[in-house]
Amino acid sequence: MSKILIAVLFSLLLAGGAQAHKASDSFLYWDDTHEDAPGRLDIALVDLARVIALDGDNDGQLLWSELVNQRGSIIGYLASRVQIMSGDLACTTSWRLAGLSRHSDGNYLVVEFRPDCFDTARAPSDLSYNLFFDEDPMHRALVMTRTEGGDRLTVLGPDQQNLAFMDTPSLWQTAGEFIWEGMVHLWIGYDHMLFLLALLLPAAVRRERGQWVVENDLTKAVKDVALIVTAFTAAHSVTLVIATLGVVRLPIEWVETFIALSIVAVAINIIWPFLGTRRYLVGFGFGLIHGFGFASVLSDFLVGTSSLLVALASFNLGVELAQLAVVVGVVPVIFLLRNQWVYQQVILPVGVVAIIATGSFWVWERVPL
Amino acid sequence: MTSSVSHKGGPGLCPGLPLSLLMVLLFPFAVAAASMGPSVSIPATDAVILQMEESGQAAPAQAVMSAEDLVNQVRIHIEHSRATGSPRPLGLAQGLLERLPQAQWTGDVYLMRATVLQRLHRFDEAEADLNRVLQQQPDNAQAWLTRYSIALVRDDLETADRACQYLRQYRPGLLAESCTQEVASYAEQPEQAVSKLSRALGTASGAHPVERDYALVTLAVMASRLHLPEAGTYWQQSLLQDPDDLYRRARYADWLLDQRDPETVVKITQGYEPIDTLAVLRAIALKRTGHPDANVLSEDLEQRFAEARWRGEFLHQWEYARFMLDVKNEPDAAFIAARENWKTQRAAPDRELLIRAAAAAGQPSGLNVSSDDEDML
Repeated sequence: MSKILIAVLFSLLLAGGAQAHKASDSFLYWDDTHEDAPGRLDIALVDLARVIALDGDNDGQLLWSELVNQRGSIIGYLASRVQIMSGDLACTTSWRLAGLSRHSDGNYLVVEFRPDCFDTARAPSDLSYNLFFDEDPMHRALVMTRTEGGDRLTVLGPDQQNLAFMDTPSLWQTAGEFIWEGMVHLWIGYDHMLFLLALLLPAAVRRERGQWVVENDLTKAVKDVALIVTAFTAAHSVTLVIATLGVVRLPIEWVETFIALSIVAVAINIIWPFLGTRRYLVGFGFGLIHGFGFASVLSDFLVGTSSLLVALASFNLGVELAQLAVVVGVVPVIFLLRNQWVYQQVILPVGVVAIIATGSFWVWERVPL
Repeated sequence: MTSSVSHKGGPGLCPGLPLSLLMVLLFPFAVAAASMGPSVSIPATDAVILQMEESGQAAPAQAVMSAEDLVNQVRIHIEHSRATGSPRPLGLAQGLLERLPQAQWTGDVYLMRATVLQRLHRFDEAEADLNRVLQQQPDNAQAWLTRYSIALVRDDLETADRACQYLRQYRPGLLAESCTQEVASYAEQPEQAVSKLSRALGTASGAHPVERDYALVTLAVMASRLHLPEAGTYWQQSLLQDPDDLYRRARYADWLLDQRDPETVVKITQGYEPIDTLAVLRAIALKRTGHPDANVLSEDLEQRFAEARWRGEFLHQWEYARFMLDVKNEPDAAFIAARENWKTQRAAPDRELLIRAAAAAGQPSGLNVSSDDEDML
């Protein structure tokens, strides 16, 4: 009884308190601009010495050399309990002892780290921290993240072990952003627009056996367009996915050249249908190469995005929506104008020549020879 | 106390030269240490970087422990925390407590947790645990004494009085006399209560040393609160009796500052800089004596308070308010902290600090602490 009394009595008497230093804290610093080692972790030696046998000769005094001898155990311990993620993927992280620092309650081991996902397209998104919580639920990691807007301070504890490096956009935000990027890319990436236009023009007036044939069946025209657009979409979606996931990679210069060539070919095909009259097959065939073009643009936007699949699907959806807008805008106009002399004799031929000329110019400009 | 880096070997060893080469090989990236945080240095190989005793031993992670063993372990951590003034062992104590399956919790385990929570100023939770203990063991004097102490810190005299009566019932003697007279000292004729306890201490030569010690510290606390001149003697005696006790050292230092004796404060706080309370009192004394080290300690304290605020659980409001008021001359910040402190801690030093800070900050509402607490908060 009296033993317990001694322990408790005076701690209870404390009014103003003789509180000393602080409870157990680690300090975690993260600075993106520090490419060599964006992360730094300061761990109190008193905490580390409890979980790893550091004092090699057991003389009660820890020497720096003894700590260095235990480098493997220390790094193993840290690697198993501090995980850096890029979305759902764990990044392998390299750790190195950098020296000692001094905080208000004593000596801290400074460890620097660099996740291997740091310089790839997928940026580190989260860090999960689980040091010492098993032994000490009052342990905290005090986190300072340096961003352009200034330093952000946060605290990690047993109930909040996860640190998000950036204000990760929600899936909806990501989806919205990538749908928009997909639409913008189709509209301002004139090559896809021009290709699509060249595919759509013959829906109203086409060339058959040296004659201009006017399509008067609206249902047939709409079906024709729907089939072409679907085939083109299916094809470029397939290659967009396999290129973005890295299954197949093609040299982008040749992809771009081939896209330009496809425009020329489809435009010539309007006057001289050397590719056949089943234009949906043409759309599908060339659509495959257009998908690689989309993928190269998408990859520029993917840096810093952790939700790859959402981004990919949204970007594709954006492209389709933009295509649909083009179809809805163009098809009624050419259908209404199809019987006009000016359309048949001026707009169509001049348009075809203009498309061939533009496409050829791009081929010459892009070909890497 | 916390160690800094020191050399184990003699000065003649000159370890620097080959070491730097070794370090370049071992730590090729050390120069690139992130610019955030305190500076990083690479110590000499033979530099002592930690006294292992500071670390304390946590029980092996998977060890199954009986309630009795656990109580003993937790008690060691509480004692370590009391002796060093560090809250760190309290975290380890909590870690141990979390391991015991709920079915095995005994009254003693709850009592230990109440003590840990009390030290962390989590009084409501501590009270809940004390209720459990007292339901199982209504005659647990330790639990009544704990309840008494918490009630007193919260300025709840009624509860304190009741707890003291139970203590008297289950454990009559000097301990019960101490709390009885302390409660009486809040009523009329407080000085009579002091002399009664003083007499009781003088005649109770057969009492357990712990009880005698408790009575002496209670006398010092009472005399300080009542601004009696004998407070100094009581503090001095109690410090002689247990020089390692940080609480009485801090209270004595505080009393000396009040008596305009900063020179003695500088002496008795030397070497106690890691303890925040003693460090703040020392910083005040250094400033008042015009000591050349005043700024160094003041800057160190600023770093400590910044880290504590970063962590969010700020246990040091009293110390911070004192620091802002008496070292930094920032009464507004001091008043805010003193008011925060008053929300949980309402003993005499807390009251006095709040009144002083309110006056300095020109906040007359803060001066009515005893008459109308709620309005002020």
